[in-house]
Amino acid sequence: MRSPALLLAALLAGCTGEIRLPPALGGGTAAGIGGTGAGSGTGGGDEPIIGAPVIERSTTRRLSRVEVHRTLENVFGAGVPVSEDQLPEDGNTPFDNDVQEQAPSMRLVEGTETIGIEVADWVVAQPSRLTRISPCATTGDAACFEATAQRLARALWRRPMDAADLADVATLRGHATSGGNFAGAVKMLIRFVLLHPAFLYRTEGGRDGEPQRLAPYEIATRLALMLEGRAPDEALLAAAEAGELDTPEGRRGQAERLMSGAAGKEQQRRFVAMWLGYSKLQTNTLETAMRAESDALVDRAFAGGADYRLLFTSDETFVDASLATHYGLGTGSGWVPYGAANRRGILSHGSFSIAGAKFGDTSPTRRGKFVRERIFCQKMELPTENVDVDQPPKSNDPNACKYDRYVEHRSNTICAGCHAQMDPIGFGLENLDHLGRWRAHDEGRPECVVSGEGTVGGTNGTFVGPKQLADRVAASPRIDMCLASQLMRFEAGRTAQAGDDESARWLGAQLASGGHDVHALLLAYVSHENFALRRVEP
Amino acid sequence: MKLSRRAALRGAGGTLLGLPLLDAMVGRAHGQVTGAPKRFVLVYCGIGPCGEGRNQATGMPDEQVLPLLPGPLTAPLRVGLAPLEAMGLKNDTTVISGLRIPRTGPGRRFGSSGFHYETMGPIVSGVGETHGMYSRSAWGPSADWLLAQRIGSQTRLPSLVYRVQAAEYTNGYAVDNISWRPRTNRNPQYDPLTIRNDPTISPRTAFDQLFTGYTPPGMGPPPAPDPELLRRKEVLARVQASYDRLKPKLGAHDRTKLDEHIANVAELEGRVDQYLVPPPPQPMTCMVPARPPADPMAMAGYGDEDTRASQLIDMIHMAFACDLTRTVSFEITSSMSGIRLPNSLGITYRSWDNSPLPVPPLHEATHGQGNHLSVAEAIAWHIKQVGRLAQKLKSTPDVTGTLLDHTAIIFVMEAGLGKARDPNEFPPHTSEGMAAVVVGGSSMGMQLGRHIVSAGEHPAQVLLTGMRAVTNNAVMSLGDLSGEIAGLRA
Repeated sequence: MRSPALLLAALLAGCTGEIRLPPALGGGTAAGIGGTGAGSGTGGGDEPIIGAPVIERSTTRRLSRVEVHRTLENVFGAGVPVSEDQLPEDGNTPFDNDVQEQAPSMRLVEGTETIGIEVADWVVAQPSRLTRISPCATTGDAACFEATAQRLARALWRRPMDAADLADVATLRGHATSGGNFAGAVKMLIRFVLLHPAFLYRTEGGRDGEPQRLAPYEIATRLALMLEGRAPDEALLAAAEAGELDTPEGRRGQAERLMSGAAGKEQQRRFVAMWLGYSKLQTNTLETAMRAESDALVDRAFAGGADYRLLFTSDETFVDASLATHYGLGTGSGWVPYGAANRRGILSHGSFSIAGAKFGDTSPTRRGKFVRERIFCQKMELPTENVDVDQPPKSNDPNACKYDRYVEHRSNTICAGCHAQMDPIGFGLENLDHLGRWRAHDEGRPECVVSGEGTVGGTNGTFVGPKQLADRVAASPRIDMCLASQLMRFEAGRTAQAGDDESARWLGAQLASGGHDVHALLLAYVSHENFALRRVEP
Repeated sequence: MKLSRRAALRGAGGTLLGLPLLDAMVGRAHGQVTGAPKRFVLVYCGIGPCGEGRNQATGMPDEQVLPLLPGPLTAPLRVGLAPLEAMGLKNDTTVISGLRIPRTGPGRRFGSSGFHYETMGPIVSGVGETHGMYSRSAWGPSADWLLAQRIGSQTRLPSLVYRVQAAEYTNGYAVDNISWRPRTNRNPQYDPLTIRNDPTISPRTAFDQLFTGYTPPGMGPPPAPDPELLRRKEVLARVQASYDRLKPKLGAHDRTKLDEHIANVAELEGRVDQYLVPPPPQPMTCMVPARPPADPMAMAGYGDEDTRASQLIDMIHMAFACDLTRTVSFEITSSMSGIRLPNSLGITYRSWDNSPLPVPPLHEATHGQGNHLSVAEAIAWHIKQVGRLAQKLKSTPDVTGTLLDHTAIIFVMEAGLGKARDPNEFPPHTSEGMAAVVVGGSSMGMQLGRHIVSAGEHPAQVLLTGMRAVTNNAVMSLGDLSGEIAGLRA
């Protein structure tokens, strides 16, 4: 098998669009990943790392399905029926909260109304559920109803009701309680609160123009949606009301608490799953085990004090017996060392392999594109019109090995410019099939040996197999800023926009100088004064 | 007798509404037309009539869906369309092949490099795709929306927008939508021209949209308003009033977005107002189906879409029988679909050597994880849904004839055969050699029981033909297109 490393540098120009990187963070060669240096913080580069996260432009966005579900579970209790699929589909760009994928629709209104009706019915069906949100329910009086309304508004609107709101809900009570039925009134209250835009949308009110300080409840909402994927819990709301979130220390303390909890960890798992493309695995036994495997690694890599690059460099993996067998790692379970296996980190997980599958096999192009775009934030241009992306490369020789079927990607000058940046990465992962199993040759073709040779470009960019690719990825200073950029997009709920470079550079520098500790990065981010400011989109 | 939204109807399977069918009583809601209303159903299927690749022996793509000969449908329908014959609908069916969406550019797919999604917009809107590759949008309003604007005021709901495929299911796939309207409050800097009409995928929601507060006609005074409807109306009104107070606190951009949301809240309140008005007398064929107890569950790439389709078809059937709407958009699967249709639906995934394969995403079945027979069987499952609806309509009397006689069901597919008959051309899976199937509409002039081989007309012209049939020729064009499919309508 020929080496994919022999590619002409002249073909590489003009394919990528990149975040501008200062040298200390791996800027330089267009096709490279910033060399193999360790990315040692703010030193060593020609350009000092300065600046700050930009003041985020407030964007009114709808809560995602997951955010709706988690919030309702937190407020009403486990088991509350939330028919997520009544709501419009979320985006997948790759995150599910991208405001540009959200359009107001009748389905949103109808779906939320249906969810509200079902939740309300469920709540009043058992006294214990009702008293959870209305501890005074046994009194059934107007004061209790108002207190219940305030309780729900704090939890679901992320702010209390004002006098006019309370007058509104008093009207609702009148409609529902002609028979003196307090539970019926609460049902209407729940429906009203859930259908209200204050629940469905994250708004940060204010006049157009200059940066403004967020209200305490708005800070709480930013924190909770980013770190837990749900509305603020009681402790966070209380901190907001006590003015604690106005200080960096207060925000830091609450962020510590949120990230350490179960919801915080799940949010980190969900972020990585969307980032690395495996959030929609099937629910069969194998893929469920794969998701658990990746989640366990995320827990380790994103823990406080950990170097997140463990995500790529871990020498052991979390499997059950069936997944261990699937991978050829024996029959053990729990954390199992890779040992002599040519595997390392999440790039060797079945979850990642599945994400790069196409046409029932691996797609070296897709895998390479994925690594470039998601991990290095190097945007690959779409193919020109004469390129057919809808079927695997073919060869005139029906007996050609897979590598040889990709010859046109290398020999055709129109194709080679971009494919030189993608295919060599993908071919370096070819020993892992589309389900993450090890293979030495093409399926059913012992004569078509898979060498695992690849390159990510740049100095010392060649590698053999997923283990060495993982090392190259982890050593690239690009990934700090790319991860920072992805985190920022997720937090803001939007795709990249002007000003993001500055934030990404600041965040990337924090990562690099802070031991590559995502936990510490997020604490630094929420502690920065700009986190508590907003600009309102005119 | 009164049927409330959340109690009485929920368990009331097949409640018969109305009185014996008398000529004096078939005047329809709102419109009070004297003849039978004309109806339109756009059905979308997210794959084409055959997969890519060729039979190694013949060098031809062995598609097994479309008739081989033009003219009357005398030969048995082939695999993909066979359900229509088995359901006794062959004579109610016309197949149109040889359609094409003209493309420009050098691509091997006749101008297309990405292909997927690029055909959906032109098919449903008649507007050419000029905004780059991989567009999942239609760049003009879709046929169903345009028709609803013209005839929708005559019924309780202007149109129904349903999708059977409940989720995208597989990594790397997306779900498109086939119903589009012009975007209002558009920012020309970054807002596209159109906005999707989000489909209903929940049979329960579909039921509620149609039959909320739907009271049977009685001989006595109208029943008292359903208290549940009054509660809904109150909640919807309070939300709007509360928003009016919130609005001044918002920035301009936020206001625009939330205004649109509140406009939908207001529209829903308007619907509830309509529900509070007792319907006019209905023919005996108007029945309220049972409210589906729960939506089918989505598991492992398949959310029991067969059951979901069946339930949504029940809603369409009764929506027509009760004249609650006359226009339907019914997307069975999305373009480049990631759904995994199981073997239990009569689909066997085979390799080219006929060895069995595991169930792939539907799109992958057209790329070697199924042969042409597998693809035809998948098409047959889609066509079975058309047949299910057509059978129900055919068995239901209308003012004259049956509901099917006054309904044009138009089935369109994402892809065509390419220049499949030419071994020197690239394999299929392009916007060439596209096909459509029309079932029903004989009383609207649709010429049925035949195979029309078009000389390259646009698939949207099939929809336009149906639109003109429904509107007595009042619709002159669809997007960039005018003119009907030759021979499809008398």
